[in-house]
Order: sequence, then structure tokens, then C-alpha cells
Amino acid sequence: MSRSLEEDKFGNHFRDRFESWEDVPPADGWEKLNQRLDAKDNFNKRWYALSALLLLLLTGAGYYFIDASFTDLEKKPKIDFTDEVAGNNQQSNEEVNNSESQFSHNRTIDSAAYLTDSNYREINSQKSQFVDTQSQKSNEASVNDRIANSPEKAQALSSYNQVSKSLSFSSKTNVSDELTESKKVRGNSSDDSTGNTSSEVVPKKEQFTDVDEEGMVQQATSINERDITDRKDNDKIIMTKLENDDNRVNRIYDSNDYFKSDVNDTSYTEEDTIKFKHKEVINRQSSDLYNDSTSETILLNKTNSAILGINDTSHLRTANSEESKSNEQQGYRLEDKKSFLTNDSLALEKSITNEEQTKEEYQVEDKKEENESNWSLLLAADVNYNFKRIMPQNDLLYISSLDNLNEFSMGNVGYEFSFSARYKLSNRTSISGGVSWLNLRDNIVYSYTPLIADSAEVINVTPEGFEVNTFMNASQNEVQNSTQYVGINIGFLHRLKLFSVDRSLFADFRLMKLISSQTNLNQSGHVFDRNIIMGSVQMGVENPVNIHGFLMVVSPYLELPFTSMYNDRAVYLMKGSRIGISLGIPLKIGHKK
Amino acid sequence: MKQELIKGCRKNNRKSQESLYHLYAPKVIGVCRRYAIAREDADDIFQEAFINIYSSLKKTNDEIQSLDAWVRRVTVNTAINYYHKHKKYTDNLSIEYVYEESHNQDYENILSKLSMQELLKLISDLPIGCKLVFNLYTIEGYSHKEIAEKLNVSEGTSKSQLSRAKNLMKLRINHFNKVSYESIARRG
Repeated sequence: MSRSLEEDKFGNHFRDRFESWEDVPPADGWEKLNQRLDAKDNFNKRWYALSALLLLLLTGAGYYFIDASFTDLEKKPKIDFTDEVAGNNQQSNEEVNNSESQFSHNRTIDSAAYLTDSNYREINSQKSQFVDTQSQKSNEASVNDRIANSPEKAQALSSYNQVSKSLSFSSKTNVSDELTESKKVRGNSSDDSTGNTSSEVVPKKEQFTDVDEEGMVQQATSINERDITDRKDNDKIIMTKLENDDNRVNRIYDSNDYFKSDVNDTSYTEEDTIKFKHKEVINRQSSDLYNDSTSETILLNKTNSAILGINDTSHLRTANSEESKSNEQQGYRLEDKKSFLTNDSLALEKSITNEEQTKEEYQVEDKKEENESNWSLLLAADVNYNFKRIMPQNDLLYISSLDNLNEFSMGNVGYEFSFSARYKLSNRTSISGGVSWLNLRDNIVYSYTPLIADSAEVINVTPEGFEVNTFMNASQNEVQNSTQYVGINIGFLHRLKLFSVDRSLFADFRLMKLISSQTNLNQSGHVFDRNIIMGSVQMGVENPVNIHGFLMVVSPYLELPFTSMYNDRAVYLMKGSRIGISLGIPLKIGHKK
Repeated sequence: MKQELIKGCRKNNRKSQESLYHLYAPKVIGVCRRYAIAREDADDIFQEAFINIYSSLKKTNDEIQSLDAWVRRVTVNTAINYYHKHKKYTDNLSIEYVYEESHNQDYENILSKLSMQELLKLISDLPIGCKLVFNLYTIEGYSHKEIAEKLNVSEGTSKSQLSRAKNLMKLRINHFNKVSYESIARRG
């Protein structure tokens, strides 16, 4: 008890004396501390700046590559469906004088919206030509004279005007409204066999309405079969063209394979996706319209016949034929002009036919795809940066500080070349395996003190024992290590749509074998023995880029090693991580037999 | 005043950091000297301690009730980490004292006559393990359980190290006493 009390007093004495004891701090304490704080701040700033720069470069590069792919598309004028429809309707109203061709015209424009840019320009140009032609011919008096001389025709004209007004109103609304409205009031543009687009055709355009005109039913005759045949031919040409273009676009859009899509594949954006979807809606509605319209064909015919009469249509056909020749001399492409006067019902009929053709084309495409090999190759080169995580562990020296532990140094930049094969398991998932040659570099500066003292002093020798003071000189060492490995890697890729572009996330397991190494030391005697085998996992994102028409993949990645680069005999163990960016060339190989 | 210093340090204001340094440097170096083997080590721990104080202030937004106690705690933790980092080195350098049971003496009286530098020498000369436990238990007031957790040893080890530390110090005190007695006798 007394001993315990004594122990407490012993301890309390120290506590009392030392609890608030102050000593003189080092004279240059603040200066040293200030330098360290500055170094720390600078280090942080450097890394922030470097990270920001890297991010900026990656973003810029990404935008550059993506923008390069989109350049052509951006040059194409944007199409506002509503404005386009309304604007053209207004123009048509003024120039074509209540022509129901507005309806089909608008429909044609809508169809054009889904075309690729080259077709779009061509069709846009043709559209202008068509409008000009209509304007020039709108004042032709022969038709009006004939109508004026015939009371029946005048009556029919009256009902026609009613129809036109309805059409004019409805056509100024959006397309879907038009299509809904057209179940009651429907307008079809037509052209004759020569594909003339003049206003002579305007009164001839098939009109039908639910306005009762029973008297005209008897006068109604079928539209000249030849006209229909010709129009069908023309429609077929145009619609096939449109469908082919659309199909091509849709195939590209639907495609999940870089190799299946051409250089411009990446140029199809969400805007295009919306257009495609819009088109699907219109096609669905058009199909309905087509079915509903069949019962109204008689009204259409009777109205048309009442206005023009059979003989008149043949007269017009002759006139159109002459006009056609004239247009040909002017270099117009009459077949293309026809497309803007395509009769809706016939066009839609053809669209169904073309759907079947498209299905066949798809089947052919699918067969082609089936015949394509699932194998592909990737040649890649990359640069990597080595972030160090060092654990000093040598018994023979004491590392007092790692002076440049992850400060940026070109001595930490390595490179790699790899070759890998890929096998597509599904549309989006592939496995890969390959070989690589890797050069890893690390630069480190450290201060150390040898544990074996340079000199020693024995003091306080007493019968109970003695004390030893040891003296060691602190030194600094800079090491530049390079290590070469060959290895194999296996992994998988999964394709996702990231930021509107198809990219692949990948993860690889890598097993590397040491083949050679070099160490440059300031101080001899420090050992940097390497482990023979090094395992790691690599993860990243593969981005397809189009460089001057040449498809490549750029893949930033992060690599985490499982094992230390150096072994137990080395001055320190080093794991750390690596970041890198890889530039690869995908190569398509082989075909299925 | 201290709260403003804390705010300034949290904003990485160099002037506030300097003020904090000048305010606490003597106390911090005092703690460091007790834990260090040599003056150079104490300076290293001292620098490291202030770096940790600044970074800890930036990391936490908690209100610090007593800045003195907080600074001291951070400094002690830095010293312990220093011990952990240099464990091999310090273990290898630890000198095995051959000691015997100390004689019963009036140590309180003897200690009171020793200067601060002599007392510090008594502590500094202890092997690192003993020194850490003695400092933490006797001066900082940690329990053996807390010490065991901090040093990653068992409570028993902590107790035995403390006992060993005290015995070694008493032995040294006896030696001082003997030497001083002999020198007085020689002069007499």
C-alpha cells in the first residue's frame, strides 16, 4: 500500500512538472513549417491543375472527335415540322390556289425530314423547283375555262372549293391533326404519267369529301389507269428511295457494332432518334389513313371527274407530256419532281409494299450479319502514369522520408503495346484476350539513415549496465527504375450508351511476367529486386472515335495491381495504381462459313 | 481570439497558422521532447505535429472546446505515429538496461531537486516502449486500456512497461544520487 502510494507520488511529481512545461522551439521552426506548407499547397495545386488539364483535354478531345463526326449533320438545316408544314401550306395556298397538293406536299416534306443530308438537300432543291413550276403554271386558263363552260363542273368546283378550304385549314395544323382530319376530308395530289407538277394538275387532283354530291357519283369515272400505273411507278421509285434511305438510317441507328456502321454512324443523335420515332408514328397513322380512305375512293373519283371529265384528263396528260419534254430540256429530274406530287394513298400503298421489301432487305442484311464473324482484333498502344504507394521495409536502412512520393515526374510515365482478340458473345457483350508488352517506370527520391551506425560511443558504464550513443549520417537517394513485362490479359467488354454515344466498359485481368529491368541509383547498395510475376486488374471505358474517316478506339483506364512491383529484398514495396490512355485500332477479321 | 485563429487556419490563412504556431510552439515542442529519442526526432515530430494540427483543423468543423488540450492530443498522437512508423528503427536501437530492484529512497525529495533538463533526461533515456507508456500514463493521464489500444499492445504489456520505466528511472536517480554523493565526499 505504502509502495503504491509512493509510486503515485513518483508519477505525480513528473505530471506536475511536465504537464504545462514549455521548451524553446527550433529557431527556424516556422520557416521550415512554412516551406512544408507551401510545398503541400503547391503539390495540391499542381495536382488540381493537372487533373483539370487532363479533364479538359479528354473533354476537348471527346468533343472534337464527336463534333467531327457531326459536322455534316450540323450543316444540314434543321427541320421544324410545324413551321415547315405551315410555311409550305401558306406558300402553296398563295401560289397553287387552294391546291390539295399541299397535303401531299407536306407529307413529302415530312418524309424528307428523315432523309440523310444529301438526299435532303436534293429533295429540298426539287421542292423549290416544284413550287416554282406550280407558280408558273397556276395561271393557265384552259382548265378554268372548261370549268366555267360546264354547269356541272361549276357545281363540282364549288364543292371542290369547300373541300380545299377544309384541306387548307387542316393542312395548317400539324401532321397528326391532318391525318386525323383526313378521315373526313382527304386530299391527294396527283400527277400524270410524265410526272409534270404543274397547276394544270391542281384541279385534277383527287378530292373527296363527305359533302353529299350524289349527283356526281354517276359522272364519276375511274381515274385513268395509265395515270395510276405511271404514278405507281413514280411513287415506287421515290418511296423505295425514301424507304431505302430511312432503312439505312434505321439500320445504322439500330446497329450495335462499330463495324456494321459506316464512318457517319456516330453522327446520328437523339434528334435523329426523335425523327425516327416521329416517322414511325406517322407511318402508323398513315396506314390507318390508308385503310379508311379506301371506302372514300369513289367520292374522290367522282369529284375529280366532275371537275375535269375524262377527255379533259387525257388533254391534260398530253399537255403535261409536252411540258415534260420542256422540263427535260431544262435539265429537271422529272422523276424526282414527281415525288412531291405523290398521291398519298398510292404512296402509302407503296409504303406497305416497300415495308415488305424492307423486310426482305432486313432479312438479307441479317443474313449478311449472320455471316459476319464474331471475332475482331485490337491493336493498341498506350501511355500510363504510375502512382506510387510505398512501404519502406528494408532492415538495413531507415527511410526517414519519401521526398517526392507522388509529385509529378516524367520518370513515372511508362508505355505499353498490346494485341488482343475479341469474341462477341451478344450484341453488347464481348470477351477479350491478348498479349501485351509493358514498360513501367517509377522515379522516387527518399531520405534515409543506415541502421548500421557510422560510429558509436559507449557512455555511462556502470556495474548495472551502459549506454550507447550511435551516430549516423542521413543521406538522400534518387532512383529511376524501369521494368519491362510481357503478359496476358483476359476480360470482357459491355457496350452501353453513355452521353449519347455507344461506349464499352471493360475490365481485364492481367498477369505480367518480368523480362528485364534497369535501376539507376545515386547511392549504391540499395536493392530493388522485382517480383517475377505481377497481377493486376484494369478497368476503363472504350470510346469509338472517327479520326479522318478511320475508326479507332480511345480508352482511358485505371489499373490496380494485386502485388508489389518489388519483393521483400528491395528497399521498399510498391503497389500504387496506374492510370493510362490507350489508342487502339479495331480490325475486323474473317467470315463465317 | 483562439476561435478566430481556428477559423483562419481552416481557411488555410497563413497568418493565422503562424499565429497558432507562435502560440503553441513552446508547448508542442515540450511534448515532443518527452517522446523523442533525440532532439532531432523531437524537431521532426514537432514539424509533423503542426502539419497535422493544420490539416486536422481543416478536416473538422466541430467546435473545439479547449484548443490547448486539442493541440496537445494531436501532438501526442503524432508522436505515437512517429513511434509506429519507426518501430524497427527504435526497437533495434533500444538499449537493454540491466537493472535491479531499486532501493527504497525518498524519490520525491530527490526529484524535486532535479532540474527540468535532468528530469527530461531521465525520461529520454528510457527505452521507447517504456517512455511511451510512462508519458501516456503518468503525464497525459491515459488509462492502461487506452494505452493498449493506442500502442496496439496488451494492457499487461502496458503495465509492465510502466513498471519497468519507473524502475529504470529510480535506478538512474540512485546513480545520480551516488555520483553526486561520491563527488561531494571526494571534495570533502
